[in-house]
Amino acid sequence: MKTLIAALALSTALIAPGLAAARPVTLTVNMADYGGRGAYLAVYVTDASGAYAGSLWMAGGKSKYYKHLTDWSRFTGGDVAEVDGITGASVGAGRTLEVSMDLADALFDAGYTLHVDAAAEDMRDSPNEVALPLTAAGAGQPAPGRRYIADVTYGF
Amino acid sequence: MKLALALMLMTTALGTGTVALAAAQGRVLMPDPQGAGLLAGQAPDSTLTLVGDDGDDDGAEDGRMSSSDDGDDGDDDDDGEDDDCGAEEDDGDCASATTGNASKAGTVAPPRNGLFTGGTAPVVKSN
Repeated sequence: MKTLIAALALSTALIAPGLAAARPVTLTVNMADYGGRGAYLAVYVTDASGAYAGSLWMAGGKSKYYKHLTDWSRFTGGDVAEVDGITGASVGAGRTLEVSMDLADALFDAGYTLHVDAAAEDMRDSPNEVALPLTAAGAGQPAPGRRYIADVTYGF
Repeated sequence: MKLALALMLMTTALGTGTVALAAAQGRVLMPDPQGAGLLAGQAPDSTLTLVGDDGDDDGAEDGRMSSSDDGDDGDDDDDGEDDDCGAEEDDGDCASATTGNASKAGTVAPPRNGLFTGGTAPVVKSN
């Protein structure tokens, strides 16, 4: 009996922090009616010092265009390994991209910022189209884009 | 005699018309000291406007994505095809193993960058 309780306590102690550290987040990107073909979007995070922390999503499958996601490309050197397994199709004008993911709880209220770079064919590149501080209070509040994106929202 | 007279009249009529036309065209080319050209009343516009300039001085935003972009795969991609890799895409340009493109979501685990917990892949929905 004592062994069983000890095993239960140990497994709880191991699992509980992991559960507490995860936060289900839904990121919603509403595209503007910019009148062009599907836009490539790079969604990534920088830390409190402005250093690149990692990528969350890449909309657009051909890596030869990633250089037009200027800031993301500068941070990563265009390394496709940064977006392996988190890449999908480009997003058309007027459409909505919704990405649901389990993010580390430590990203919120710790100085991290979510960025979105955008580019569309035969149109100007738009680095850092949206920069949105990751805070609990900022959840559900749309941040406007400048050229291709109408607004970006994250929610829990 | 009548024939010669008719010919002379015709030549005169044609010549006068040509001179009048030349004079009218010449007016366009001649500088006008009063600043009034053929379209008198319209002030000359001294502002030079770049074609395609939206007046937005973005500075860093000079690049443009083009289907003729040269990639590392050596594909000129100027055939007007879709510049994306959709689920139905059987284009060799989209095969990550051969072109260096990123693996699509759901095919491999997300990167271990510390942002995703438990290695769970993001779920995307686009309308």
